[in-house]
Amino acid sequence: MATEQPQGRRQQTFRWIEEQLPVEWTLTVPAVVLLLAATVLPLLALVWISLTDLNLVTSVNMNFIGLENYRSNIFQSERARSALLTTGIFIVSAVSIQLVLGFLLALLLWGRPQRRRIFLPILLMPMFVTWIAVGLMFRFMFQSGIGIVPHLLSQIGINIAWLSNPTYALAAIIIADIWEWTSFMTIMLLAGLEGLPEAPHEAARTDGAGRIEMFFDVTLPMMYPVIGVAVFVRLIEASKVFPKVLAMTEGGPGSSTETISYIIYEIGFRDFGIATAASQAVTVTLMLLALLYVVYRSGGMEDVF
Amino acid sequence: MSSDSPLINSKKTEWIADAILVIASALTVFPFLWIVWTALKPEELAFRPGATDFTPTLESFQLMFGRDPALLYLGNTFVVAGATTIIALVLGGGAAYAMARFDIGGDRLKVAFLFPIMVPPIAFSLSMFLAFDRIGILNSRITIVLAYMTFAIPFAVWFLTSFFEEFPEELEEAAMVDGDTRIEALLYTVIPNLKPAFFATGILIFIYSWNNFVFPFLLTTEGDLRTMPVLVSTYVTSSDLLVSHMSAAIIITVAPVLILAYFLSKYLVAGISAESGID
Repeated sequence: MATEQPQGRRQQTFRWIEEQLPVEWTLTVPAVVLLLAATVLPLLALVWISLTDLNLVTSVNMNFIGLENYRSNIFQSERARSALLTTGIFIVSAVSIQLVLGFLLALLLWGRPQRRRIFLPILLMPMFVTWIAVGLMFRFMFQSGIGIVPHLLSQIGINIAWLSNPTYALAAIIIADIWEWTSFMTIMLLAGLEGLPEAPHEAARTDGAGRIEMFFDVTLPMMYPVIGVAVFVRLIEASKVFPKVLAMTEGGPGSSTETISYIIYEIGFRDFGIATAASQAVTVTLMLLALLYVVYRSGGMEDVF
Repeated sequence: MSSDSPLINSKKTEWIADAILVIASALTVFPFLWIVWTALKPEELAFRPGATDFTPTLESFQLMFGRDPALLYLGNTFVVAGATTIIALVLGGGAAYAMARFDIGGDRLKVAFLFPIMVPPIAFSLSMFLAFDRIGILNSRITIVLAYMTFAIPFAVWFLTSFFEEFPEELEEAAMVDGDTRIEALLYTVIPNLKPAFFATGILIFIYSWNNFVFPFLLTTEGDLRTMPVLVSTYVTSSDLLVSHMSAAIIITVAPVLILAYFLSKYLVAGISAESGID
């Protein structure tokens, strides 16, 4: 135990360090320095690369070309715009369905500790599966000829070639994401529900409010801050969608399921068009940081912390 | 009373609620069962979803540990995730404590610590790949751990700050009156009392690092340094389809995490109950 530690050794170890700097800086600086090295340095390098014509296939030289990449590879690129659109569709559908289903499950577990003990550990399992495995599991389940889903559907006369149809392929990726992350919404919203004051519900009940009225008039408005945080966190994670696309469709059929992170991977790491990929990565990063800024400005950060 | 739920308050609604929960659980569990079922099939039957007439075999698991270097990869994954967790808890914990107790940076510093989470990992990997390649440290565990810091430190700071803020300041002040310095009070008084919080945060960071795919996939080019998620991805490519091997690899990768997650979810459930005062 800590209290049995010999006083002398404790002094030797830490006193000298503490005398060198104000203690709050001693404690903060290492984390800040490491984080700067791991994040700000790579991002500055990324911005610099995005202003050049670096391409590991066509040339060894690196020339400064200003904002040319941004002009030709984002605003004028059909592929980049389509990837942004696909990412948008993915985020909106996946997160909104997760919110509705997750909220429903949270409401079903609200105030029911025995049910929570039984169902919550089961429902939370998918969240802990490595993302690439989720993608591969669902690819394997949805693939025509070998997958269980088309196999079962064909028994009742429905024949869908999930992964080779542009719409269904994106739907399959969204289904995989819903399987994986719905319980994140459930746990966040359940924590919020259990923290709600009881008085407003009591009052509504004495006023004779029905369950549906009670939910929309009393419960839901009080849940807005928690819903905001849960959606914000999911939104950020969903915007990064990449391993699932790689595992399930590799962007196909054609380029119909390419998301923005996926094209950055393909252009940068497969075709070595580093500068093009860098300009796209900088653009997405700026879009997400703008979102963070808006949330911060609107005071939403108080709920996040 | 069987239930304190404001919405589910009759036998009929309770019945419907339980039915929905059972269906949701079944849909949640099905992919896991399907993967286990597939892993037990011989490879030549694994492609046939309707095949039920087979002798279960552990061949895929045997090959995984015999022919494929699953043990090496498991070791890599463990070392990288463990190192990330320890570094993040130590450095992030220090920063979190300083931000909870001193007036440094305020909200802006907190948001600054959060910003790396907003950046897609692919954006970091692109310039990391080039830089590490040029310096000649591309294939090393250190670079993977450094890349993991982009999420591990923000997580540690974010979670631990609120735990430190809730911790009663009088306890460490008492220790300091007894002659401890600030850091000694933190190490011998505060942290021992916050073990469960550190434990839960640590599990979360460990799981997130264990599961990470993008960084080890993009920042290693040699097999010897790869992690389990990368190994899993090698069984199903456009030219190769080894589904029962893939299933076995998924089980080996996911099982340790689910065991850890079980402890974490107990903690999360307990946390919710403590907050609500029910239970």
